[in-house]
Amino acid sequence: MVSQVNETAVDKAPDHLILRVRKRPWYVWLLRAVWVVWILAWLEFAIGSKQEIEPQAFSIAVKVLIVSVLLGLGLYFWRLREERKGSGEGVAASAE
Amino acid sequence: MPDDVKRRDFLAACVGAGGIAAGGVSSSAAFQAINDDDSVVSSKPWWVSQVDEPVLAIDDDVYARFNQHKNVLNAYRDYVTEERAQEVQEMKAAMRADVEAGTLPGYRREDNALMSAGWTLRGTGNMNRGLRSWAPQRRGGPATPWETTPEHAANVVKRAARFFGAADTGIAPLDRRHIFSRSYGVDIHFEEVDEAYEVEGEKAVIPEKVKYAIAVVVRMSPDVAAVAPSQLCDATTSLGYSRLEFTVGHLGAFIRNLGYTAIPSVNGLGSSPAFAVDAGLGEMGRTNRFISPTFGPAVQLGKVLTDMPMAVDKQIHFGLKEFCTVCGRCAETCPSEALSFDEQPSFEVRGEFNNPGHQTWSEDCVKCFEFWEESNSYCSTCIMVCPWAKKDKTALHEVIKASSAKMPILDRLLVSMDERFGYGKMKDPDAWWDLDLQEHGVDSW
Repeated sequence: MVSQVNETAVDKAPDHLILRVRKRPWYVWLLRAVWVVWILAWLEFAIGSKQEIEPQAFSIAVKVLIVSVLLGLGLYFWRLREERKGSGEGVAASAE
Repeated sequence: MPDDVKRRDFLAACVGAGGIAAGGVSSSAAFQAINDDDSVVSSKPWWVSQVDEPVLAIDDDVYARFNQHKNVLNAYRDYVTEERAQEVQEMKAAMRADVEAGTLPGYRREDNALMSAGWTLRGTGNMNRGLRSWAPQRRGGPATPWETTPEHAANVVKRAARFFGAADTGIAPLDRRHIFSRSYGVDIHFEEVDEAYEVEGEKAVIPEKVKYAIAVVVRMSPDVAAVAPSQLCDATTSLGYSRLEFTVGHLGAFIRNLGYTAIPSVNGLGSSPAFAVDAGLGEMGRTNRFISPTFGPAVQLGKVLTDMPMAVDKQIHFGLKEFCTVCGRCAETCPSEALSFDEQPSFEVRGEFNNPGHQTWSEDCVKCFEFWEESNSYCSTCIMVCPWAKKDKTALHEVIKASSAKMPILDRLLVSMDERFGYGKMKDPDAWWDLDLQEHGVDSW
């Protein structure tokens, strides 16, 4: 399954449709992987700090975790919105 | 591949990195060095380097056997005036009433009982007494010495030590300068004899054939060490000594059953930190105490001297000297200002209670001991605040340790982060009694 459709073009030839899908560039996938590792590391640190009874470390870890998740998701949805705008009105832009 | 980066070290590093990436993998397990069948057991993290020369230098012209009777515990009154000694005793007595009433957190009746009970096994003897007896008794097997390769013997001894409760074990060639010239009321000599013996009140004799020192580390409970200074914290000190008694006593018996001489010891006989450094178990820090790369400063040390031929370990370096140079949290926090603020370690001593001739951050043991008396505790604040004292529940600590070991340029940042994250603060002693504890309050895996 294609994870993301950036641009859709419809060829209105009489007997068939052509769907063009633009792949995400490699650095976007890299950034997503880094973000996931970052989130997991802070999640692990938060859990570990809770077990270690280190309230200040736990508090910082949770704050960083929440900010990181919100920033990541915010950026994702902002980019998605921008792409939908750029892909043209009335055309299905996402297969995700 | 260069000689100093062995295949197993490289693989261990990869396993470690994978563990971090996976997030939540048991950090110490992820960093265990891989052990080939023909190698000596090594559980050092990959970021620990072996070195050929001591990290902290020894002046061979000065360093010599120390008279343990100069230790502040034995000779405090030789180092202060009678008035000062009286003043300290009065401060101790002033707090004693609150301690006995159990009104202070960490000094409650149950805390005191726990600490006192922790000494139970330790109280069965001292040098050449109880479990630390030098007597050549055996409990099984033929009397002839076991014959095997030094590497195999070292592996077997380390496994046995682990089985008897050691968190870590190393083997060093016996440096006689680490043996006290006098300890527990007797002079210590080396003689051409077959078995160690003691003439009470006169001398203790170590056979010339004894060439090896097996250093063992027993871990203190990090949860208890986090309530310093208090008598609850002292419970991990007292229990640690009893556990050492158990470990070195059993290890000594094991070696005798293999047909060799074994002289088990905890604090007496010789300098346990010196043997532990020689055996590649850790380095000396600004606290003037031993620090393990794996377990930090919350450890206690013992040793077994023997004539059993074994492969010896090299000394290690994990960047502690550089770290302590920029850190100094122990000195800043020490309630008695006993620890050194000097940036670099030196050969300077602070009194006759220090053994000269080795580079270190010397400690004013009189000030330290006086605070023990005043606070009715063994303090341990320097252990609690040390950034190397962590409970190992998160892999990030391993990343930080590795960063310090391999990139000392980050040390200042790491010290600053340690403070900002709130580490090293005293925990609520009363809350300790509600914790879920592992055996002995320790997880040394």
